Amino acid sequence: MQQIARAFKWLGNGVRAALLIAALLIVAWSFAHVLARPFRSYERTRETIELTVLHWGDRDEDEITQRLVASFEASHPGIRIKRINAGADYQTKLQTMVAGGDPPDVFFLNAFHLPIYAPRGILMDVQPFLERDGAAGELPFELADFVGEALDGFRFDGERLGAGPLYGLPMSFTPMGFYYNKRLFDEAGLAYPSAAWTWDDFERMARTITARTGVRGAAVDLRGAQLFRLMSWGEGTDLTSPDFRRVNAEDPGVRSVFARLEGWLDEPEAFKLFGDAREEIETSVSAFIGGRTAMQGIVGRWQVPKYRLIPTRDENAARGFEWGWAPVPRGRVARNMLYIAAWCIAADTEHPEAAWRLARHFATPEAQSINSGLGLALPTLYSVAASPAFSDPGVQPRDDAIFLEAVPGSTPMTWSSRTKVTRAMKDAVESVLRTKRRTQDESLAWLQEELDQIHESPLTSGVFPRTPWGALVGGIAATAGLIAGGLGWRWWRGRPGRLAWKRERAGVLFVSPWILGLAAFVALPMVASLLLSFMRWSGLATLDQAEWVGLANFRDMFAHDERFLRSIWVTTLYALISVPAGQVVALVAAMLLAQPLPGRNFFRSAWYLPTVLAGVAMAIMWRWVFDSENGLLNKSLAPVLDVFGRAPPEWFGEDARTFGVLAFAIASLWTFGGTMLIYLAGLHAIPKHLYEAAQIDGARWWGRFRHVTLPMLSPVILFNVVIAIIASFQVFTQAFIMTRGGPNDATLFYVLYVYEEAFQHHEMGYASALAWILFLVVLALTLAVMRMSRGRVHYEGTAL
Amino acid sequence: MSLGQKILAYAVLVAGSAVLLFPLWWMMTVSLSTEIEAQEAMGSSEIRVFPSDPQWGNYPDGLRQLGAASGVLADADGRVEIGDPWGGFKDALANSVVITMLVVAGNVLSCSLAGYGFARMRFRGSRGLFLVTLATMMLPHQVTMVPLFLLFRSLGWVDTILPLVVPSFFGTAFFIFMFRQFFGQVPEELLEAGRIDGASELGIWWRIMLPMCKPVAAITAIFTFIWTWNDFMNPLIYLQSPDKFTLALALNTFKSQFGDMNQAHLLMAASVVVMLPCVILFFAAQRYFVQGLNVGGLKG
Repeated sequence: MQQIARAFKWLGNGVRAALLIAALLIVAWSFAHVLARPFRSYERTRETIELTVLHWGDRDEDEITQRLVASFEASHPGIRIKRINAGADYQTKLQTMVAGGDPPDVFFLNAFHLPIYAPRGILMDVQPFLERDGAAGELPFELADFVGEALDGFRFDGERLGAGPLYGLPMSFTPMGFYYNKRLFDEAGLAYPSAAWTWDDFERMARTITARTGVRGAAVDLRGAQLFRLMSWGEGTDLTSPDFRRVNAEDPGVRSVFARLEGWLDEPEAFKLFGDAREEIETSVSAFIGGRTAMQGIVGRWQVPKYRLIPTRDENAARGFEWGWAPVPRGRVARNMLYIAAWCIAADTEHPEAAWRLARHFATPEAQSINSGLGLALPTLYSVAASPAFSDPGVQPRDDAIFLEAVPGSTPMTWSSRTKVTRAMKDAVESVLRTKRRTQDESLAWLQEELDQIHESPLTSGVFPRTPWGALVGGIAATAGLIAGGLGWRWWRGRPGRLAWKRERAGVLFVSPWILGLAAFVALPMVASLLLSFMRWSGLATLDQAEWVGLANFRDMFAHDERFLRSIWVTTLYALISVPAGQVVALVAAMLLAQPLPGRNFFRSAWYLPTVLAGVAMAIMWRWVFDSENGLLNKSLAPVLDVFGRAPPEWFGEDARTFGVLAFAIASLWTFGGTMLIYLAGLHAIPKHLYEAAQIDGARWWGRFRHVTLPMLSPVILFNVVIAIIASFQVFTQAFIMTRGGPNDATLFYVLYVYEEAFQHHEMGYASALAWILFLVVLALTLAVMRMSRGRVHYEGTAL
Repeated sequence: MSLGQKILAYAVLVAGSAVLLFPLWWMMTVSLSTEIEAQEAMGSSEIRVFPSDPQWGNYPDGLRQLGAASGVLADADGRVEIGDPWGGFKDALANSVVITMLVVAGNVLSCSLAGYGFARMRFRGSRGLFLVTLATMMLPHQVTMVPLFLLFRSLGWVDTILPLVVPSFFGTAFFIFMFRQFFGQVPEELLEAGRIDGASELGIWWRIMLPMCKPVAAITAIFTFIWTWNDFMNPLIYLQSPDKFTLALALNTFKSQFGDMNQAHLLMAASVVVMLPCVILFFAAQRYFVQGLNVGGLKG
């Protein structure tokens, strides 16, 4: 036995030593690799122009962009390109760069962003370049070959997309429609959808398929208010007037769209409506792949690469199927919408000519051919669309032409330049069709009120003076200097006797690095955000453009910001559930794992592990666990609840207002590892002799816990509780990836709202005001907790 | 502990592990699936215990997908060649390691210094300063982000690792608070003994406090490691050249042009590898947590 134990110990030590050596080698290599970087990169000569390119995209798109950049550099020796792929948080990156006064020279943008960016003067009109090069015959493509709908779709006249200055060179685009499962259509004995199908056809097909095959007819993504507006277009109308001020509440077209969509809610076997959150839409995608839905939409061309992976029937008779795509069904009229992505040029680039050449390079037939190969979108040149690079009958979809045929007459959908309007339209649709909180009438009336408020709010329409930065900063610096000087002088004057002064000086020295860091990296930005809370600043311009609005941000917030109150409620609820639950679980776990049980090292690691897992991967998993239909949780809950005659909740669907926050609180329990670890360290720091003494005094388990563990652990408990409170009010990442606050603001956590105001509504000032309110609330809470704890927390030595 | 208690304890431990390890197991399963299976797994009702045909190749593929393919060069004719397919991963790994190591070192040193100052040294203004320290944690980072960016930009630090590393050498409120709470637990007699022996305050901090509080230092190191390693927003804002990207940032290249999640199986594989160092580090640092005061030299 002993030999085995010894052998294990040797093995353990060996593994540990090997790991240590490997770790040291990796660290050494990393430092060498990073330090050697300046010697690896090219020398920039004086004559070189450097252009910054910002884009997003997965690895395939990244590689294509990189190839194009490399070939551009090869043919333009004087120009160097700095390429940034900002991935999922593109807006944040772009906004910080613009706010820093350093926008990228060339960047990628979707047409629906034009109304936000163009009026702020960030984008350059490239029409003159296009005309000049066209006249000189220098364009790398024929202008006549360019798809007119795509080019015009990137024009914006200040009101609508489709006319006016050209703000970028479109690279790819797609109309919207439905993918359909041909096998299920065959089994139901139906003809495939044609390009001319109507919504009535769509409904009939979905019902027939469900009746004859038992499979759901259609999974439909609302995509905010997009589907609703698109269906309204089919009725020759729209949800609002073109200037987004008046809701077309009495319009029979709008009413009929609502009636149709509400009708689908009554037939859940045949129709399923999805909302807007990314992973939710993924669910409808995977249902299509799994053959559990016959039609999936509304989506563009971009699903093609994914759906090409579906085995065809002859490859896998059991699961495989062929599929097709059909444009959005028509109503009384046929009108589709386009997604257009283009390369834009920053208005104040230092090198407009070079930037234009690069944007032009990205649109060459060669570039577009490579791009179409991915299958994500349609090329903007007819010649490329006709080439096998795009239309390859050898792969699915067999009929690429149907995408192109859907283009004539289609336009991009214009949204308001105020993102709040877009959000309100989305809420109006979702509150009827997702959370069923309002009736049609209520929702349309609410939307009208909301639009009035947005347009009439002084913050939106008022004129304010520019912020007097010089006076402001000077005044603050002077005041801060005076206060600091005064305090310092008093502090110096009141210094105690020599010995105590020595101790005191030592204390200050210990804390001095932090004082410096606090002032520079923490206090300065905090003061800046405090100042911003009295301003209106989009973050899409430099700071000197900020306007001074005084207390208007705060007034607006309390007077009529429904979402502010909503987010406070959501966050408080979450804190009330997650803080106590998390602390109890973590403390119990720590006490269990502090026991000298064999194998506890393994269990500690296992219990801590979920804390290490983070990010997108986990968000995807939770989304699936809480999925109302096929999720793990509801699948296991259903039989139990069935006994009581109840159905499990739709966590992020209809019941999200009550259960959405609960779902986040439950998910948060998986990450108690950090808290547990701190408790564990605290438990181990309790001197053993105290327990022995208690035992001698005859204390039982509870007595020891009550009179030794709790008091000795109290500083750590205080720490964990305070931190948990602060953290629970700042929940962001998980909600940001999973729900983005939806559906219908059911999971709108406070910081999510702050982020949305700052980086999606481009209201940095308002966001700062929101943040400072949160700051005050949490500060008050913390002080209350600290005060309550006084006398209950046991410190050795100095108490607070 | 009686046998009954032990059995109960193990039952709880095993059941807890099963529940808590579920996310990891799910990640592994998806990471070994084919792309189409992975896509389906995200919305399907069936749970696969193990993929029917484990795709181990997803791991190297996923890692190669990380970051930008480095070393893309074009020759004079404009023909393009991709250099090292592992380049993106290697760059990102090195950057992550360097940044994380520096931040860990910075945090442990500066936060334990300040924590000691707040816990055991009497000086006027200490309470007020400590409350300010606490308060700084309460303002959401999202609104100080842009002002901080402007600050670092004016220092010319954008596209360097400095904004990510330097602040840690001045301390982080969270860890200062934690050190302070734990230093508060150390018996006063020990410090007095040190002072009587003629140790300077710096000596007491280094020779008594830090060794006594190894678990806290270990926790600081591990938390800092994991947070820095997984941090996405700060590298996104400050780093610009692809060869300076960190692993967390490089993981971000799985979203396509229209924002859809592609290749979830590779994303999962890469995520598993990226989090591996955190797990190993935690396992290796285990023994520091079991060292309490008793080992530190106090006789019971």
